[in-house]
Amino acid sequence: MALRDGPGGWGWPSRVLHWGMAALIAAMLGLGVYMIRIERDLIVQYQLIQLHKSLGATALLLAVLRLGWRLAQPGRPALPAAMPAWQRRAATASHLALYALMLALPVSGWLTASASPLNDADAVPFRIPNMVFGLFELPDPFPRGTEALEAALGTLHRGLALTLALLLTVHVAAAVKHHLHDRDQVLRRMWRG
Amino acid sequence: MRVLPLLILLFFLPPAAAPGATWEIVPGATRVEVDVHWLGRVVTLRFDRLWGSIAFDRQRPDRARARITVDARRVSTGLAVVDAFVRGPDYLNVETYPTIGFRLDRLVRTSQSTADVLGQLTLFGITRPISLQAQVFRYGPTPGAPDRFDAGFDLTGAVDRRAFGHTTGLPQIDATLPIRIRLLMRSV
Ligand code: HEM
Repeated sequence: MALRDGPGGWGWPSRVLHWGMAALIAAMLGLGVYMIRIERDLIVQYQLIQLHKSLGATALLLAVLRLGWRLAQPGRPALPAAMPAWQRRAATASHLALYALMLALPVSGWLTASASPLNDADAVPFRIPNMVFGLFELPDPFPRGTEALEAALGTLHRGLALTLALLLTVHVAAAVKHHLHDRDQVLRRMWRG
Repeated sequence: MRVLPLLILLFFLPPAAAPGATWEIVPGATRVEVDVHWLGRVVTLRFDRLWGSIAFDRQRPDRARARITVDARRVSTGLAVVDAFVRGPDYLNVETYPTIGFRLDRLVRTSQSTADVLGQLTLFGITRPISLQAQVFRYGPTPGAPDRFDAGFDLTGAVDRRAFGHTTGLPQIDATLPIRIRLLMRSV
């Protein structure tokens, strides 16, 4: 099993990161919507938001690792020769955007939570720290948060999440089209290397 | 068989040992839950420790008498930081008011398995009338102890906390507190 990516295929770290993060991000999109829009029990909601922060911090760490790994690779599998130029441009642009969103989503979420006055030292009725699996607290760039800043960053986080969800839909649809319609190796090689 | 109609029982069961027989509250099967509504969300306060005395004659339920005390210090929400706030001086203030009291004045049967429960609630040292609706969920000999008798009621109602001088967080936190009580009592 190859370690590094090259013209012959994706190495295993790239594939593990790809599918692991795919599952994590899909779960985070669902969890985010569920905890904010559906859950009515405040205690359960609190626990889900803490889980969301922990998984989100994990996603950020993985995104940094993934980007670092990707930039350190000697090469990568080429796109099928039959692909028209506009599709190549679309693939490159959407993959760039996916990397940007993988970083921007957790960062904006973390900034939202940090901007909340509930995260301040003298919060009423009690302070909500941004803990990662109860192990350590994320740094707090806004020791004095405001509701206005929290709302603005929350809107940004939500907008980015929606953009990511739409882009992922296109990404998945394109992969399925490669597999079923074009019958090329694009999807299979992300699984088998 | 979920709920035995009280009326049938009144005719067919052997008479209770003594009129106004005394009962004990079955601890593990009895609890009080209060819903605190806040901007479309809810936090449930659970009280699982209560005690008191109940005199209840199965043939004359209208003569029932009870005094029940709830341990406010043991209130819990499922989350320690929230518990600390709820118990603290800004909410239930359990240091000063460690208990919540209820006195039953009158039990009025409204159907075979339902009744209106009228009484007095004492909260923060203030006593006000309260009415709850009771629904029988168990009524029969204690399983495994045929000489004893179980009577279980689900009581529901609501309290306006302003009547007890409680105004924390109004109006974001609702003034009305829906209450659910599951009371299982056993003859002694
Ligand atoms: C892969 C990473 C992440 C994804 C995909 C994601 C996705 C989402 C989604 C879909 C929502 C729901 C928006 C709505 O329906 O209104 C949400 C809300 C939220 N997320 Fe994230 N999130 C991520 C990372 C994070 C991180 C790392 C944190 C904090 C440390 C965080 C904190 C929050 C907060 C506080 C909200 C509520 C925002 C509000 O409505 O004010 N998120 N997230």
